[in-house]
Amino acid sequence: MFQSKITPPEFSYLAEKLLRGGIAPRQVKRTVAELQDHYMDLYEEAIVHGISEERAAQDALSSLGKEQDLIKEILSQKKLLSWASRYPWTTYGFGPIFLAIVIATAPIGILESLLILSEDMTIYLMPDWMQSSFIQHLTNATFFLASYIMPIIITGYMCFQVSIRRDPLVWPIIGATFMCIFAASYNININWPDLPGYHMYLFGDFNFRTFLMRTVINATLITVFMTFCFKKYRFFKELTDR
Amino acid sequence: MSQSNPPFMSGVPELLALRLLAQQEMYGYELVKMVRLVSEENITLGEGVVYPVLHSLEKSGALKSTSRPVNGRTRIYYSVTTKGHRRLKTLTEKWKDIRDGIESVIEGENPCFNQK
Repeated sequence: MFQSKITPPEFSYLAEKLLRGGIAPRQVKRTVAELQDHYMDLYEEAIVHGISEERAAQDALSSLGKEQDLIKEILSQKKLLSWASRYPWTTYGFGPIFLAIVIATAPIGILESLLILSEDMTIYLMPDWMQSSFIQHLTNATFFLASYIMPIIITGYMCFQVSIRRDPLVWPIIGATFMCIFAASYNININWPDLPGYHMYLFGDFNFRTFLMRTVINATLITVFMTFCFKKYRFFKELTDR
Repeated sequence: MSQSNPPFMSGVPELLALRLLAQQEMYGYELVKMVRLVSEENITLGEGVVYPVLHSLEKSGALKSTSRPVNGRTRIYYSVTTKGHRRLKTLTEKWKDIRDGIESVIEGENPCFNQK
């Protein structure tokens, strides 16, 4: 078989339109790769039949069909739409909040599970160092993570996803707003039981002024972080083109 | 598409893909060539159109794909699953009904007209 040195077309217009139409990036990448292979097969077959390279390239592209028709055909297949495109509220709105709740409560959940386990086994599983001072540090760390670090990480991840999926910029803004509100309202204290067989208990208080202040701090941190990302990374810059 | 099919061909690429892949696993280019060959060039698909059809069938579980390196290129081979065989049976029956209906209209004497 003839092995050509030409490179197939990149189908960048098609890829861009498919991404903007809601097709998952992985699916787009695969479609483009298969079209490129198909193009090369057509091209090589034409060359073997004695057709000139220029003509073979033109014919191969023409045989694949017009890009517009192909885009229309692919977008008509609803099964190929990404989850984020079909359920944007879940992906960018409630999903991150759910993730944030899991992250914020996981350390406490793990400790409580150990307590329950130790109760069932009638031994106190916790080592000496894991006493109230450790719990205090854990509480502080969890609080800091859930209140200030997690919103930035999750918003950054959402922006990255929106960027590669070419989804509208409104979605990470909605997601970031949800995250700011959730993170600002997260307030929890843990009381470690002194005796085996007792459970830890959690309490939190709500103060509107503190909540407002923390919302503003989070929004500022996210804005600063995103401004940094827009300046540094090309794919974030593309977000502003929409 | 330079060789596009008329609108009534909707659903035909799916049937053809399932029918041919049920006999032998193939990658996209082979499948398009095979369609041309077995239909004696009466059916010519816009070649790129075969991929959304294959991907959609794969998503619905009618096809499965495996990628294999061939001559320095990664080929994605498609084959029909059990669900795909069931889908093929249903589509074939539907298509035969349509074909019979059209044939009777085109070739047969319509008794309804004679009654008037």
